[in-house]
Amino acid sequence: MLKRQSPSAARSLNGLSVVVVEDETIIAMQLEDMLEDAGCRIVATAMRLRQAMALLDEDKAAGAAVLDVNLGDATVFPFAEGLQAAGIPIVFATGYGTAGVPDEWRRYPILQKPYTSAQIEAALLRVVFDERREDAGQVAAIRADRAD
Amino acid sequence: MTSFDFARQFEILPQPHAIFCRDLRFVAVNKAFEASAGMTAAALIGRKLFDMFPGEGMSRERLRASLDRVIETGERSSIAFLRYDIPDPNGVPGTFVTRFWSLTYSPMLDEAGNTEFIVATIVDVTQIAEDNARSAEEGLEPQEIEAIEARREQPAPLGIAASSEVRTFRRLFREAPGLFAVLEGADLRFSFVNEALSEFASDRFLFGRAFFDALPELKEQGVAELASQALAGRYAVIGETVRIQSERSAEGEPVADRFFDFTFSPLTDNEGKVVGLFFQGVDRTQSMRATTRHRILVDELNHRVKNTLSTVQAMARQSFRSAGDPEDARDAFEARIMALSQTHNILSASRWESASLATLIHQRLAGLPRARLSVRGPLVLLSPKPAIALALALHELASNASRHGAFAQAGGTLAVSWTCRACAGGQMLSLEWTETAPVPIEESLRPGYGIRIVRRIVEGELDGDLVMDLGTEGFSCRLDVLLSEVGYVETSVA
Repeated sequence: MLKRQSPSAARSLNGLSVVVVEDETIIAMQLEDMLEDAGCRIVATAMRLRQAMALLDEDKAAGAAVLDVNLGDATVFPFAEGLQAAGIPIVFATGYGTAGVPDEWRRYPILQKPYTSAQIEAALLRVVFDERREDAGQVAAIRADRAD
Repeated sequence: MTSFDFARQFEILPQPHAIFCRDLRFVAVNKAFEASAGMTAAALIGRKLFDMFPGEGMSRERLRASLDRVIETGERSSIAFLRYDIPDPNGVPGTFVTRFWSLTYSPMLDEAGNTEFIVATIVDVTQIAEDNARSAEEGLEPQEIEAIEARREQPAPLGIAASSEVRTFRRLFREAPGLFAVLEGADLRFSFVNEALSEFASDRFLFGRAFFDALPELKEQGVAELASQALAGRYAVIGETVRIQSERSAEGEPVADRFFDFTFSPLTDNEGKVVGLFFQGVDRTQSMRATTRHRILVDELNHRVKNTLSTVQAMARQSFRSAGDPEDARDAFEARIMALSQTHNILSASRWESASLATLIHQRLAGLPRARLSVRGPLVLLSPKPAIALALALHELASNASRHGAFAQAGGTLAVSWTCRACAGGQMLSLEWTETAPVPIEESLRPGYGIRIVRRIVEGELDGDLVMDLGTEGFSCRLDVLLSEVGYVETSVA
């Protein structure tokens, strides 16, 4: 089972394990570079929903996930539900912006493509460290505690 | 002298006329009435209207109500269109023939202001009603159109005018694509319903029924409010793009909502009193759908632009990232942008439906010496996203071949070939890229950005397999992807 990696004591992205879902190769590679430059470690990059769903069963830990929304014919939300159940913080990144994300997911940060490394870093810091201000994050965190 | 003139005038009026006293006995009829009814004045005068013309059902009730209104109120009353069967003028007693009428009742008041007599002006519109059914396919004559144009400038009276105009109007409205109805009285009873409205009402019976009883679905959405405003005022009231919640179809399938513009225009009598409404409905569903489609297209365009900007951003980042020569980096960046742009051109030519793999390959190899190239494979059409991905991969391969591979030395060659064959998951597209280099290449296969992107595209984005080999004879690679992941093979149309 994919588990949540505990946040570091300091408010920093250094060493944060991140799952990436992005269906365009060079954008995925750019996102990996941005995350690595910020000190993150890439747990895995999925380019298809099927590849992403398979990650949920892997015995790994992720501190956060950056998710593209439209994956060819599918959307990323089934995978996002799995992440939410595991209490893993989510950042959405989509060409559609907020309009591309249904209401129930809008409590998570939504980045409009193209985005900068500064925007990615700010969004990750927010979901990983400020989750107590996020009702959803709190619920997810409690669920994750119970699962342990 | 004067009374003689009036009587004579009455006698020769071209339209049938009759005069009744308050208990609806015939007092006088003119020649035209005799001809129309097939009865003489002598046979009618002194007899009661409903004894001579009993009618039946709703027709009789409407006629009775209209006459009662004149008697009670001392005001004119009209029925624009009424089916009322009469005894067959030429037939066996007791047999009836179907007739359609337009009727106007005008009161003659006594000194106290009460209705003493009722003058009925009657137009036999049977021929028109039948012609309408017969001549549905006929177009309008130019002079008819002219008459309509001229007539449109004037307020339409509820009562009936000369019959040729009535005929033209009726046919115009009956067959018009919009919904049209004439609604009479405060309860808005249908006295004219055109074909489009009947169809809208799924052939429910409307004629003679109150508007909102017959069409309860229009009561919601503010339509009843529109009608009462029109009745209260003297101006047309318009409701734009009213959503009509559709009922389920016979199979229980939900039907998409429809949108209409509704207009209620007051119909007034000669004194300016509102006696009914003219109802119009224009189906705006198509234009609403077009608007929606347009919005979706704009959203999609916006999404595509944002994705392209992201791609360009990623290309810039990758191109300028390595610490090499800034001019090389700029050249590489420009070449990638051009590859992306030219792929967009191919896709644009097919309205972003597909791109042929061969066209894509030829375009990417366009700058290389043709004599040293071989390209062959069946027609494969790629969907837009995999087309762009493959184009970028091919661009990196071609660029590598120019800078380090077959085209970096004299006499090197490149063969690109592809096949489709049946496999477990459907059809497998296999593409082989084979470079030959006369002088052995010593450079080891290092995972630069170009190689990395090819691997990621094939294995990640296209979910396929990539095998690369830098043998001493030259670089070669083979990629296998499921055809269903990237496009399709055009099957010949039988």
